[in-house]
Amino acid sequence: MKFSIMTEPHLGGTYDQQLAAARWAEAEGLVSFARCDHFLSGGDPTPDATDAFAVLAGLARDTIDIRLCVLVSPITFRHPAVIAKNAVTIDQMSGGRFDLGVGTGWMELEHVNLGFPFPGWRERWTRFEDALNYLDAAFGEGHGSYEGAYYTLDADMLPKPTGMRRVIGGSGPKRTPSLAGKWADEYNFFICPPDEARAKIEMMQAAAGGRNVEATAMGGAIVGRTEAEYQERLAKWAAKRDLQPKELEDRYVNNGFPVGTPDRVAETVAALEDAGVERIYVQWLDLDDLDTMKETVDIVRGG
Amino acid sequence: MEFGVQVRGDWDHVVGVARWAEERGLVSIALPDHYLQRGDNLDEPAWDHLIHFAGLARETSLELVSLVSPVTFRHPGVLYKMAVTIDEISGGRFTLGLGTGWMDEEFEVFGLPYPELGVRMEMLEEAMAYMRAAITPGDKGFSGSHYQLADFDPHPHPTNLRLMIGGAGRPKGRRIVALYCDEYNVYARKPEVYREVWEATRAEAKEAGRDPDSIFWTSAGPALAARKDSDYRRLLQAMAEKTGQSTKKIEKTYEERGYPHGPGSKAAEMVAALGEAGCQRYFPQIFAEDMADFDINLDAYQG
Repeated sequence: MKFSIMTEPHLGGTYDQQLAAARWAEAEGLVSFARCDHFLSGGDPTPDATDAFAVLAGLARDTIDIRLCVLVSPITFRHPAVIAKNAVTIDQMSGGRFDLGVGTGWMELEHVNLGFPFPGWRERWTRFEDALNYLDAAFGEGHGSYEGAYYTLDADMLPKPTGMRRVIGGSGPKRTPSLAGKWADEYNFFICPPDEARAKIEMMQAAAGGRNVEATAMGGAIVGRTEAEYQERLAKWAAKRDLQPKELEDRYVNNGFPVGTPDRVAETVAALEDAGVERIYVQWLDLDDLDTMKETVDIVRGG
Repeated sequence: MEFGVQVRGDWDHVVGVARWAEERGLVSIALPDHYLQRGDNLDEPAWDHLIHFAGLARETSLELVSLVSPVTFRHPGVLYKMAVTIDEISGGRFTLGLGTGWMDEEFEVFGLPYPELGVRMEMLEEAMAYMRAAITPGDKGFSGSHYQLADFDPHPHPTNLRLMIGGAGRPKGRRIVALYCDEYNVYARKPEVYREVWEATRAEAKEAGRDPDSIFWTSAGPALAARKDSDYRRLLQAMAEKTGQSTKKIEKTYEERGYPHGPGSKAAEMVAALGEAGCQRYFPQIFAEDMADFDINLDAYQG
C-alpha cells in the first residue's frame, strides 16, 4: 500500500501551513500532497480558504519531488480551457509532478455565496462529461476538436502536459468508476467497506478495458498509539462535531475508515489492499495541528 | 519614472527575466494573460499567467503585475480567490489587472465566452465592483446582472492586493478606475492623450469622493528601442521578420500610436514625456529571446 496526505484548506490554513505539510510528506516519502478545491465552508467568520491551483503552483517551486494533487476541482468554477492551462503550467513548473483531479461540484454554499452558477445534478453531470471530453482533446497530441453542449475546442492547445496524471474522484458506485476507467490515470473514492471498494474497482476496471488505472481511496483516520490516546483524540473530534465519541466511532467504522490502535488500523488497511486499493490518502482537517497529522499518517502507514 | 518589464513565455524564460529585472533594479515584472501568444500564430505555446505569478512569488522579490487578464476568462469568484492567494504567497506584492479582452482568436478556438465589447465592458465594471466588495472587510455583497456576491465577508482578506484595469482611457474605463481601482494602465497613448485621461479620471475620482492621488498611473508599450542606431535597426528588422510587416510600416504604426521607441535618446524622451503627462511607471513589453536585447531596450528607455 502506498500513501498520500489529503488536506482540506477551505477549513482554514495558510500557505505556510500547507507548505509545512507538503514538505513533511515529501521528507517522509509519501506519494503526494493533495488538497481540495473549495472556496468556502460554513462558519462565522468564514475560514481563510485559499485557491487550490495557486497554492499548488507555489508548492511546485517550494518542493522537489513529491507529487501535487488537486482532489478534485469542480467543473462549475472554471471553464475547461482555464483548467487545462492551469494544469499544463503547473506541470511545467513542477517538472511533471501535477495530478489533476476534476469533479462535478457539489457544495452548494460556495456557489451561492460567490455567485457561481450551480445547475441541477443532471446538468452538472452533462457539463462534467463535456469538460472531460474537452480536456481529452486539449491534452491529446495534435489538433483537438470537440463540440459539446457547453464547451467547444478547435485548437492544438500547447504545451501538452509532460508528467501530469488525470484523476477522477467521487463516491458513486457506477457512473464515477466507469468514467474514471475511460478517462483517468487514477480513480479515487471515499474509503468504504472493503466489499463496496472491490465492487467499485471492478466497475472501473471493466470500463478501463485493460488500461492501467490506479485505484485510490481517501478518508479520515482517528488513531492513537495506545487505546487511551485513541480515546482522547476520538473525544476531541467528537466534541468538535457535537457527537458522542461512540457515535463518531460508529460512523468511521461504518465508512470503513481506519480507527483505533495500530493493530486495528493495520487490519483495516490490509482489507482495503485486499479489495484492490493501491493507495490511501489520509485526510487531515486541522492544519493547526501538524503534529497529530504526522502521527496519524505514521500509524496508518504501519510505522 | 519607475520601470517594470512585461514579458511572456515559458517558466524558465519568465524566471530568467525576473532575475534579470532584479539585477537591473526594476520594480516589477508584468505578464499578459493570453492563451494564445498571438492571434495570427496558433502554434506557439502559452501558459496561465496567474499560475506563473504564484510560482514567481516564491522566486523573486519583485512586484507581480497582471497586465491584464480578459474578464471573460474567469469568474470573479475565481479571480478573487487566486488573487488573495497570490497576495498571501507573495507577502502583498500582487496587482490584479483586468481588461475586456481583444484577441478574438483565443476566445474562438478555446470556446471561451466572448460577447460584444459593450457587454464585456459591463462585465469588467461588475467584476471590479465584485472584487472590491470581496476584498473589503465586512459583509459587502454585490449584485450585478452578470455577477453576484452574497452579503457575507469572504476570507482571507488580502494584505496588500491592488486592483488595476488596463485600457485605452475611454470614459467607461475611467469610471471603473475612479470607483474601484488602485492603478490605471493606459496602453500606449501619446502624452497629450494620456494627460487628458489622467485629468478626466482624477476629476471623476474627486466627484466620487476619493483622493485622486490614490490612483497610480502606469503605461506599457511594445519595446523597440536602442541607443545605438545599428542595434535599433537590427531590432526593427527582427520585428519585421516576426510580424511580416515592413520596417517602414512598423515605424509608421509606432509613430502614429505614440509607442515610445526609436534610436538614440528618442525612446527615453518619449517615456519622459509620458511621465510629464502623469505616468509613474512604464512597462516596456520586451518579447526578445536574447537577454542582451533586454539590456539594450531598457538602457534606451531609461536614458
